[in-house]
Amino acid sequence: MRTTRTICLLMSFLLINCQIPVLSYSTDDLEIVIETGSHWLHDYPLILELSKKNPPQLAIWVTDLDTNYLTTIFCTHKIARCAWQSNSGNLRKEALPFWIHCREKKFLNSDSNSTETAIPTKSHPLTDGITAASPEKGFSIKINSNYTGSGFLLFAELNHSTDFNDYYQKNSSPGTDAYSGGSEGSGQPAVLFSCELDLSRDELEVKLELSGHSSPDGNDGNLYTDMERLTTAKSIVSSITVKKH
Amino acid sequence: MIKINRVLITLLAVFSICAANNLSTNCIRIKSSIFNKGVDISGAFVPHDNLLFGLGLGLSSNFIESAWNDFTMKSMFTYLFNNSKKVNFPVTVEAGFIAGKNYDYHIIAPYAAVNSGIEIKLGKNHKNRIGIWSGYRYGKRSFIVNHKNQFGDISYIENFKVFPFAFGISYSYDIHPRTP
Repeated sequence: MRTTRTICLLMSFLLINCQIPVLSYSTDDLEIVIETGSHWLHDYPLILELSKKNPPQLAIWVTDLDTNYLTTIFCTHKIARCAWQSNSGNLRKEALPFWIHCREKKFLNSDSNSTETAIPTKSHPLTDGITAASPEKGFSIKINSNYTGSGFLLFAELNHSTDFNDYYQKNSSPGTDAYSGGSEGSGQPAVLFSCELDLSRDELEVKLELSGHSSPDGNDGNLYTDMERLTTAKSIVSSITVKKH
Repeated sequence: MIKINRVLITLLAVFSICAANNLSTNCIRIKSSIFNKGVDISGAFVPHDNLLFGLGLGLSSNFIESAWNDFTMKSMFTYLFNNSKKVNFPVTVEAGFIAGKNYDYHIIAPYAAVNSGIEIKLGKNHKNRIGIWSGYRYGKRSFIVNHKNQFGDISYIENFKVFPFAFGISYSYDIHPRTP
């Protein structure tokens, strides 16, 4: 009887803890809403003909109006912790190169005692933003900002691994425009969304624009606006919106 | 999701109560399993030749850091098909919870599983059994993750999902208490 009572109490505790959480917003809170596109989930090959549906790697960060890196808001686990499954020690800078090179400018100028690095590694993972498993569907992020600057830029960079197409092929040779890290690389390069925000405005709802794509092999932090060779990469998200409550 | 989690927890309660109420049975089976996501050990009471009600503990890996540091606790019900023969086919329904831990947070999530496999009885008294099994697991939990940095306070709803496919090997031993 005592055992039965203990079990019932434990079950009651578990039941209470199964409430679905909801983000509640106060005045001046920002909400970033990511709505998935038709190619949000990508078939990642496993063995033989088996594959699994993978969501993209994603980083959302802010810079000042001169594109100096401030901080990361959100980053997916694999790149935030260098937790790639079959990278053989490769840091995979071709995954989100614009974000990495944006951070490099800050970390090259910072003091040598800093333990953080531009490309997160297992021993020095990302610490300045939320890191989470890649979401399998659309999601929101709430920010209660204490930023006091006149305005800032918000960036979002997304990429799938092995997202090859007719131009960015898995057997493309290193040094060519189509090379993106080889057979375990990106395939199509990461796509970049951005917008400028001014928190002093009372009403604010801005849709991030698709600005271009990053370097396919991750060797530079340039933004490329030629989008003709990208196919499914342009459909990873349908929209990214920021609004002020 | 909240309805499914309530069903899982109710299943867990029912199996646990059945196991607790069968303490007086005269056979206990201790079983250990190694599977793709962890290890566990369970003790089951055998009120009938083909039925087992049991409780188990284990360690598993459910997050990207691939460390077996997630504690699991479960109760289960097993039916043994073809138990009178040397080779039998157990089908197990289990419900439990995972106390998961990764780089950023701790969570408790209920789960349920259905496993089936093959067991072979060993030895003269058939007290030892080895087996292979596979099954499907379902478990999901959403929770809010918070982080503070120089830009402000950031919040996000994280979704934890139990890896759905499990397969492993097992060894079990029947304990028959001595009668005075």
